[in-house]
Amino acid sequence: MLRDSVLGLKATILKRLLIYIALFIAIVSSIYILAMFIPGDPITVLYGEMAEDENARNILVHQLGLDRPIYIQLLSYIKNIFVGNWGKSIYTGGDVLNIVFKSYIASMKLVFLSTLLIVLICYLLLYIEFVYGLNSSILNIIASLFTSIPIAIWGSIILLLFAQLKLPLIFGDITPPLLVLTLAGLGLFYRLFKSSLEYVYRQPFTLTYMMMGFSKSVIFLKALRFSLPLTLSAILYRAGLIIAGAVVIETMFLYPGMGLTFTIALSSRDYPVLIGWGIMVSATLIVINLIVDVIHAILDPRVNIH
Amino acid sequence: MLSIILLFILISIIIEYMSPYRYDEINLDKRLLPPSLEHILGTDTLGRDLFIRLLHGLRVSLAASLLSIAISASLGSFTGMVSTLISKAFQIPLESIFDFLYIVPSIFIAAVVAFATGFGFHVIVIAIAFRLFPVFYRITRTIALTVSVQPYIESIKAIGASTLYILINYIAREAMPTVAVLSIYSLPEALSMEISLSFIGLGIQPPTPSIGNIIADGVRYIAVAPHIVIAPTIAIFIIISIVDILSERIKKIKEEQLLL
Repeated sequence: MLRDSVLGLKATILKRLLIYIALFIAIVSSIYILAMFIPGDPITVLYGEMAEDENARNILVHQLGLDRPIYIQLLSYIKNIFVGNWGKSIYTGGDVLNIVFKSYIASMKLVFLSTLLIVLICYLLLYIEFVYGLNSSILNIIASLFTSIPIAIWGSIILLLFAQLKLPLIFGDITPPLLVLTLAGLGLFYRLFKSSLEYVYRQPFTLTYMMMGFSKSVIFLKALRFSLPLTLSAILYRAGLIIAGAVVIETMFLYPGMGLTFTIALSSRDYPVLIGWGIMVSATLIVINLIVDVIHAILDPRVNIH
Repeated sequence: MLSIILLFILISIIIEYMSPYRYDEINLDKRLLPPSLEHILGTDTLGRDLFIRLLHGLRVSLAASLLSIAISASLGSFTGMVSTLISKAFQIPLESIFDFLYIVPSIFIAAVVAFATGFGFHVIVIAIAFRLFPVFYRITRTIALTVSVQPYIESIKAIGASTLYILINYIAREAMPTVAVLSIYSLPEALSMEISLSFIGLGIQPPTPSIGNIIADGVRYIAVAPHIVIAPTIAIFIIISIVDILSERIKKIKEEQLLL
């Protein structure tokens, strides 16, 4: 019986994996085709003056494979993505995969630390609220305001604070962007965790636990276990959001993550880096979606993702 | 509450036409002045009056957000309702398009649109609309699916109502309150995206001001002229608070309706 369900789980995960791989290939191809619409001719961009002669131009077109049909070009591009050959940056000449990967690691550091801080602070607040019974509506109002303030506004508030305190802004310093992302995520996560915990506390089994005489903190921990799938998927989605969406904050505080890479590539019209950025972010979001599906299937036996 | 926002916009238009300054009037003798009686909020890096720029920028930012919400709400709810009628064969490509929109970051879509058609107002509108479109689609589709299996729809069908009639008179009417609430909820997100896109230079181009523009301009002079960043920050704070109170109130009204 158990063996059957494990096999079923494996089959569903495999099915989701295939769907997501298909989606990834579709995204890569559409990014590649979209990039073709961008005005500007690659030969002129790459070789400039050298390619003015008609003959030299034709040879270059042939060498780069630009005279082949578009689906062949696309297939060889997808093959190159999987073998790690992502092209070279027009602006710096560096390897695109290298550039994107370096900033990816920096962004991941930001994601990890800010999520850790948010979860700790939120659970601390909620522990005080639920165990000691301090339920204040002021906290709710603050949380809902915190949620709706745009992240760029958080950035400028922290920047003003740093300027007033005469603190120096150092290139690559993680503190200011970490502060902003933590503050910006706090409200949303507080509300999310709170509503999921309130849902658990309304369930009959919580009442049973209370009648069995468990202490309030033990019940709180049991409620946490019950709301774990939701918590984990919210955290994972947030990771994706930061990798794609911390552009303003990283540009503002010059933190060398994915956001700053995007802005620099954008302002220097560095198409290979931009395309690499898009592929990396899409791949991350796809993997996150896959993990969320799997987590739900494992942690919550009621969920059926067939 | 909504009337406060409308009043705010009206007053800002009147003040802008009454004022002696224009939003793109450069005066290099008066750069980075702090707030004074002559310039209520001071001047920016090129000596332009910040108060007028802020009023104009707020209008531009709000216009971009409201326009894109209107586009995505109408298109999204329309496709959401129609998608329940069409056959399964069309359903799968439609779903995968929405999956695609969820996964490709909207800032990337904005960059592609900007490179293909030029930078400007439309880039922001398209990017925000693409971001919000799937949300409206999903919500309306769920409502349409739950409404269309209700017994009263079946009896109306038996009387002989056409599909279009049911769609407009029953399903659309059921979906309307939710779509309206969702539109208000998405205003902070739309504003946030406008600020981000204009900040990195993808959106509204100078000399036209927008909130993101003004902040991006002020960040470089934060140590000598913090007032450039303070003014738009406070303005957005006020608008967000108003929207927040508004949505809380709507939520309360809805809860009361559910109890009755």
